[in-house]
Amino acid sequence: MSELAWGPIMAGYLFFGGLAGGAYVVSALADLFKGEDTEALSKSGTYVSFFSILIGLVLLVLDLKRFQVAPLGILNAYRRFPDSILTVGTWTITGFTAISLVTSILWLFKGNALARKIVEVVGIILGLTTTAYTGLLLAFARGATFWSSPLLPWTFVVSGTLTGLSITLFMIPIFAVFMPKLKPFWELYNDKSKFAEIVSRSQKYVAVLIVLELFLVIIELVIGHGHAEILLTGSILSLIFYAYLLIGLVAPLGISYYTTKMNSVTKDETLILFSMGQYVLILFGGLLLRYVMLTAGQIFH
Amino acid sequence: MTMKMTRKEFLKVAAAPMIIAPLALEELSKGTRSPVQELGKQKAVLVDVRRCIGCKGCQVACKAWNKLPAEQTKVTGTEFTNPTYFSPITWKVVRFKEIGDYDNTQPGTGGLKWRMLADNCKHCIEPSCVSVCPTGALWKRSDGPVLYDINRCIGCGYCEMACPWGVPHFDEELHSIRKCTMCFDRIDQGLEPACVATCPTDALQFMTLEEARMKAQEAEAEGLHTYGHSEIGGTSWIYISDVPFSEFGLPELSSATHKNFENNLLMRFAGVGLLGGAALVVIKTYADRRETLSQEGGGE
Repeated sequence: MSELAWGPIMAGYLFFGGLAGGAYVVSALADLFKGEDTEALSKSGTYVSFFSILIGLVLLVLDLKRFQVAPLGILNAYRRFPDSILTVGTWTITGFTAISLVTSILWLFKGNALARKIVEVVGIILGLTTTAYTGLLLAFARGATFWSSPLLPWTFVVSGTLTGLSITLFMIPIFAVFMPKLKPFWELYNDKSKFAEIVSRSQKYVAVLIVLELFLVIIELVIGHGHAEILLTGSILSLIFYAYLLIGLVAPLGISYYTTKMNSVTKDETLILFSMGQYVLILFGGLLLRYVMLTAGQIFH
Repeated sequence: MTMKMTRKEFLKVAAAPMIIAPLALEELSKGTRSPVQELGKQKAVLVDVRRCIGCKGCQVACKAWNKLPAEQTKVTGTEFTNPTYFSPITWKVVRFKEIGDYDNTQPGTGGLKWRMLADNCKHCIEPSCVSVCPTGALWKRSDGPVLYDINRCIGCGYCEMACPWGVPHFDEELHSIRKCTMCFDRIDQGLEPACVATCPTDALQFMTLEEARMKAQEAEAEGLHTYGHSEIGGTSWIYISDVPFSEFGLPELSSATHKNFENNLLMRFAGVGLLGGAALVVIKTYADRRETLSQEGGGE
């Protein structure tokens, strides 16, 4: 019997694609509606989205089984009328990569704010489409009935936004430490109370997104075309699924609850430390979600 | 030197993309999907499961004509279907099924009977694999066969996922997807597909799609089961059987073509989004109102 056609590399592509779209949407919305006090968040999200989509694209190309023989074969997808979800996705991701690059350049070289905001509006649409595409790609595969649900793309959209927000916040201190000249990360990193305030405010959104994702996953299992048992009982995949629920959703939700309660009495450093741990768990959970869904769908092909 | 443009010139320049874009899109869309000819001109194979004696001659003929090597398999003692799966080198599988409780009135039958089904690519009228292929490596030839160009395949694997029967498989040696071609090279020479030609009981019959559909209709009227007549918008490989096709593990499929399936899913996706969005707005409004009320209460 042949092994699964789509493995961990494909899961990585779906993860980074979703994360890139989510990070861009979060950072652009913050820039459009929150203004200057979230500059670090907006910049971090934009840079991260560009690099994440690049990683995703590299993984996608590496996963093409004919890549060694015809590395430029993928260009054939651009020559066709976009009538397949894959060609639509190819164009969308290309557009999104370009937009995230332009936005990054506009942030990096202090470009015109109005121009940046116009680009961001287009980028939000492309970012959301990219995130949704990672789920629609699976949902449109008629052979794998496990994926044929309108909830799966929404689960990926919510997860993409959650992981996007998490990596955006997680990268702020990383940018500050490794690229101290890149403004305004170093300043924010040193102003612990201000950074803690941003982290604290974002906890509300993190919690809402976790609850939403949990809700979607549960509903999907309940109406899951009778295939839910593989995720619930007696297989290695079910263990990974439980790990996803625990690591990616329950534990981060617990941290959200804990940080909300401790906020007023605990030091800023503790809040930041707990939140950083939470972001790592969310990111790992996002990767597990893609892997579990991708594998389960192929088992039921 | 400055160049000035008159309003008329400007309008000409501005209007050009509006004229060119639709033309370019129309041009691009040409040839991406092979036009499906009238059903009468398409070829088809009618498979009458009741006539199959399980000789596996079709399976061997497929290997022989297409020069496909043998599969390394194991004899389990309980499974007569061998191999049980499609692969880059196995395009046809004869599925064996011992079925009970269908006709206990016939003396001597013991209520059990064997049924065999010659399974392969169904050569759908609107194939899912063709619909999803991003490079046009797969296409439906106007006379029926669903074919592929190994030089255009990029190995994305999406056709493997989209096919409801899991027919296409990537060949690591050939670096391309491979599957049953309906022996198009034989059809071009006025011959029947190899499997049909070798069948000793006429369980497989080569005819026009129109004829095959008519026979399927007659079978349905007689109370027999058919597969491929309406499934997934119809296929060029139509089956007739006296036992349900679920017995052979064939999936139950609606008559929606792949495009209809995608559109339906997209509509439901949008519907979930609208409902979910509305629900979130209601929850947010309720939460804000509660907060305002509690603040007002606290203020007093």
